[in-house]
Formats: sequence, C-alpha cells, structure tokens
Amino acid sequence: METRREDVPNWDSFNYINFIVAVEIEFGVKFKVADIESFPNVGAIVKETTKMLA
Amino acid sequence: MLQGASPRSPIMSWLPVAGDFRGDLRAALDQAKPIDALDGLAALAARRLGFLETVQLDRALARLDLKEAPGFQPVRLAILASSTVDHLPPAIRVAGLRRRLLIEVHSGAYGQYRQDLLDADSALHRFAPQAALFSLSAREVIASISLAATAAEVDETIGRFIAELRLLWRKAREIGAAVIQQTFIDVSEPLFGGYDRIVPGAPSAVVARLNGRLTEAAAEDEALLLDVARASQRDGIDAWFDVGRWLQGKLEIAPQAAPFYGDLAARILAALRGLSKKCLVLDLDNTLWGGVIGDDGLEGIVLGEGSAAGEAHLALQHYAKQLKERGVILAVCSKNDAKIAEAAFRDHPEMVLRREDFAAFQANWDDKAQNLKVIATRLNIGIDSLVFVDDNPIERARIRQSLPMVSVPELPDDAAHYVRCLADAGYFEAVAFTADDRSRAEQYAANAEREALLGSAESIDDFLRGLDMTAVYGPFTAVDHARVVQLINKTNQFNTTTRRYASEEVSQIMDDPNSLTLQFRLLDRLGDNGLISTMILRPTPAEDDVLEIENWVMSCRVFGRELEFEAMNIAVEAARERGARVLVAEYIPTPKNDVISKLYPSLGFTEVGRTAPANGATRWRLDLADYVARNTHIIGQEQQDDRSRDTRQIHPHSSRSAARRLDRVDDGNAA
Repeated sequence: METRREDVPNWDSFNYINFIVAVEIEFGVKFKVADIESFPNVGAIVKETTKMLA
Repeated sequence: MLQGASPRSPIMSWLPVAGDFRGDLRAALDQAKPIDALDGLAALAARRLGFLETVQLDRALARLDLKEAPGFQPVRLAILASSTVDHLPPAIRVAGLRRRLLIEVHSGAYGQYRQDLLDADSALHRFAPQAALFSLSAREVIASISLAATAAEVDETIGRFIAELRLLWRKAREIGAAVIQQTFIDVSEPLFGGYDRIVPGAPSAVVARLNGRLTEAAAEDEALLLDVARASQRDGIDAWFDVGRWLQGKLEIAPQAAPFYGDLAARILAALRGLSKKCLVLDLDNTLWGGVIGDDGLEGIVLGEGSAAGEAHLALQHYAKQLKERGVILAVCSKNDAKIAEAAFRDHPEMVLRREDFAAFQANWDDKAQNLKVIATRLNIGIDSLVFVDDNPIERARIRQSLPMVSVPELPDDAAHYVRCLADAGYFEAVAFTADDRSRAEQYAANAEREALLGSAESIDDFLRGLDMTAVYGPFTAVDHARVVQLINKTNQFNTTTRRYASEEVSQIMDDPNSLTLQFRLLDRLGDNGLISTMILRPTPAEDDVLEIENWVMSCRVFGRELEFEAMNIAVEAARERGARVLVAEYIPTPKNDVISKLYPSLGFTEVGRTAPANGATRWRLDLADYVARNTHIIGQEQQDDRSRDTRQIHPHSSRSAARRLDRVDDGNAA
C-alpha cells in the first residue's frame, strides 16, 4: 500500500496509465485527472476507489 | 463522461466471449513447442478481449521464442503519429494474430514522423516497413485556422496540410510501404451549436472538411483509410476518446478503444495480403428467415414486410445481396431438405435472395463442418476464406471447434442486430473495387452454363472445342494495373512462387525494358472471364539470353481450360523475340499451390536442382530450341492498345489505376 511509482523498476508514465485503466475497468470507476496526477502511492488509489464504490 | 462512470468501450460483438482467459493463456504458454503455444495464443486472440487481456496476450506473445512460424505471415508496420500511440501496438499485434499475421510494429517518438520519413538514416528507414500507418490529430490544423476564417481560407490551409501529407505518403511509398491513413476523429465540443456546420472555421466544420479532402487525396494516391472517424460515430465519441487520457498522456485514441483500433488496422493489412474472406455461407432457418421451413411450411416462416422480425431477416438478405454485388460469393449451408429449401427461394414472395444468388447450396442432413468443406472444394477456394453465419450457438461452437480457420460471427439473440454484427466484423475488408469485382456475379452465371455444357459434352475435347476460347494477351497495361496487382496478390493456388508485389513494384517492372510482362484475358462464347493470368519474366544477372519466370499466376476459375499451355506457347514466342534462348523458373510449394506441383514438367521443363531444400523449392529449365508448341483449343490474339477497352473504373480522380486492389476472388469459382 505504501508502494510509490519510484519503487517499481522500469515504471514509466505509460505503465501508470495502463495501471489506472486497469483499476477503472476492473472496478467500474473513473478517477478525476487531478487525483490521477497526485496519487502518492497505491494506498491512495485504493482509498479513492473504495470511496467511489461506497 | 460522468465522473465515477466506467468508460464505455467499442465492443467486438462478433467474437465469442473469452471464458477462462487466464487459464487458457497459461495453458497456451505451457505448450512445449513455441509453435503450439503460438497456435494457442492465436485461438485466444479470436475471442472477445478487453484492453487488459489484449495487453496480457501481447506480453505472452513477446515471450515466445519463435524461430519460424509456419502458417503465419510476418508483416512490418510503422506507425507515424502526432499523439501518443504506445497503447496501440499490442492491440495491432493481437488483432494480427487473429488473422495469422505476425505484425512487427515500429513506432517513432510522437510528432517526429516528418523527420523520420525524410531522414534516410533514421530508424524508420532501417526498419523498412511494408506498411506505414499515419495516425494524425486534427488539432494542429484546427489551431492554425481562425474562427473567423472564410471557406476559401479554410480550404487553403487544409489544402496545404493535405499537400504536405501527400508528400509524406510518397516518401513512405519510396521506402516500400503501403500507405494507411487514419481519418480524423472529431473530439471538438460544439461552439455555436447546430450552427457549427455553417461556420467554416468552427472546429467540427474544419474536421469534416479535412476528412473530405483527405478522402479525395486517398482516392487519387491509392492510400487506404483506417476510418476511426466513422467508428467513433458508430460507437459514440466517449468510446473512442477519453479527455482524461488526453490530458494525462496525449492519447487521442482511448485505451479501451485500442483492441477495436487494432482490429481495424489488422483487417487492412490482411486485405493487402489477400487474406480477406471471400465467401459468406448462410444458414437458413432462423437466420435468413424466422421459423423452420420444414415444420412451418412456406406460409409459416417469418420473412418480409408486416412483421418486425420478418423485416429483420429481410435486412440480412438485403445485406448479403449487397455483399454479392461487391464480389463476395454467397453459399448456403443448412440442415434442411434440399427440395423444400430451394422451393422457398423460388416461391416465397418476399424472398430477396434467389437460388441463383448462391454459388453453392448445401441443404441436407449431414454434418455442417463436412458441408463447409464441400463448399470450399466446389468453389475452389480455401476453407479459411469462409464466413459461416448461423443463429444456432451449438452449430457455431461445433464449427469453431472442428474448423477453427472458418470465421464464425457470434450472432446476437435478436435478429434485428444480425447485420450490424456481421458488418462490424469487417471480414470482407476491401482495398480496391475493380471492374472484375462488379462482374463476378455474371461470371458465376456463365460458369454455371459452362458446367452444364461440360455435363452434356461427349468428351473434354468436345467441351473445350465448343467453348470457342480466345486468349487475349500482351504486356501489362496501365489501365489493367490495379487488376494485375490484385490478381498477383490474391492468387494462392496457381501461383508459382507466391511472391507478392506492391503496386509500385509492378509499375517499376512495367517500366523496365529488360523485363517481360504478360497478361491474359480469356474469352469464350459464354462471355469474358476477365483478366485471369499474369506472368513476370526478368533477366538473370549471369546470362543475358536467359529469362526467369519470376512469378506466374492464374485464377482458378479458368483451371482445366488448357490456358497454361497456350500461355506458355505465347511466353516462349515472346521470349524468342527478345533473343532469349532459355527460360528458367522456380516452383515454391505452399500449403495452397499443390495443384501446380507438376506444372513445369508438364510444359517440358527439366529440373535443375533444389535451391533451398528448406522450403522445398525446385528450379526448372527450358531450352527454347527444344520447345514444341502444344496444340490447344484456344486461339491466341494480341491485345489492342489501352484506349480501346472500357475498364469501368470507379475512382474518377485516379489517373493510373483508379480501381484499386480489392478484396476479390480470383480463387473463387470453379471452372
């Protein structure tokens, strides 16, 4: 949950977009662009997803 | 799109749902031999996949250690883009796999495509693409046009842009690439409302004008269009464009649309290779009409005006009829009593399709897989060029299981959507529409008469004599250029080397004074069979009195008519006039050209050894001094000059070969 982009070897912006798309498709949600830019780590994405599903 | 709502995706409705995707992916990768794993992945690619599954499948493909892949064709595609397209190559490769194409994709940095094309030392040039896909955004054009611009000013700016684009197309051609141009997707928001269409400088009006001019240029330059503009109209712009992704990473095609985009790209590449489907095979009960004719009788089936369901089935008949008019062969494969089924076509007043619209009619109680094989054999086409449309999911599953090379669209439950499903699949993607395509229906009718004649003739000799055949021959002509390219690239059976030639390559050979080209039309008393054979002879570097038959193709619709013998008589004569003493030739066997494995010995050539045992190729030689012209029932006649013939071209803009290469059927139609 603490994992940040910098922690994953070879992580780049394209991987990040793929990851965001994966979460959006899997959970049927849509993030705000401002949130996508500023998610500090995986935990923040989980938290936002949970909030939208609530 | 509303925040919180999941993105809408274009649905590949014709593909069956994936089932246990992960399990099947693992099973494919567990195969010991890479080629078996590849087959497994190709089978998975034929299922309905989303963006993520597509990426996973592509990664699995990349992991395979493939030395060679028999049955798969390699293709090199370059993407030249003005926005981020990193998400498209996986989808293009997976869609290629669906058609047994192994597509290698090169994509340069976005916005760099001009430099890459113009710089002869660029990675793009080294990649030597066989096709170049231009994926451009309309944004830069919109930005350069003021809202107050007049129609003339808009036209001028767009004209300059298109002129520059055509220059880049030419550059791509010069490095041997066929040009595929993506149409411009309109992501603009209304500014004036309905009045947008009236204001020339309004963004949506600019995009519309841009696409109009692009289409004209494409028709003139024989560029092919990847029509995302139309796809996004059909699916809705939200399915194709996601403003969040644009802001985030400059993606103009939304990730969830990538699989569909990949399919659009791959079907064009497949069409260029002659891999588009040729024949639409239709089930009858609950497909071409509602109900079961054997139980319900002629009066009981649901078809035609007055019933919504009846009109839905009628719509499928209309669509099939239109496909036939553009050159697709129709056939019937149905579990039915043949007499009852045929009577339905003859006697039902609402029937749009007629018995004579079908080139093959298999209505019986045999297994449908067996019947599909019979249809392919009778029409003399590959079984992989069939599309089988059946409302019954069990029959569909059975055919997919036993004949995986046959395309079987996953028809929806509601007959109202049959046409849309079939159309969306793009099985019959075309890259030209030639005079030959338009007259194929008549040629079928004539062939049926020929078959009747054969039945009544005392002997083959009688039959051939009775046909009064004339072969009209001469070098490739400018007016026939498109048809020549199409014939060479689509013929699989009578094709000595299965070498494919780009349109430009054929032009170069025509211009080369040392090469000899021959094209043949066959006329008989039942009609013109069209341009049905071509031969390309090139000088050999070592000896100047030796000509090599680099490629020789003949449409299967004239098999068994002695044309190969008359063609060789003519070729030998033409070679002698050139001062040649010897003809050499190569036969490269493929899974499809076994029919001519004995061609060269039957023409008096002797084998001079195997060049490349790996592909089984054999080399053949004929001393012209020893050649004895063979008597045939065909009269040879040298062709008149170009202008004397009406070629019925369809693109008014094109000077050279208006009718472009297209999905058509040389391998169709038994002689």
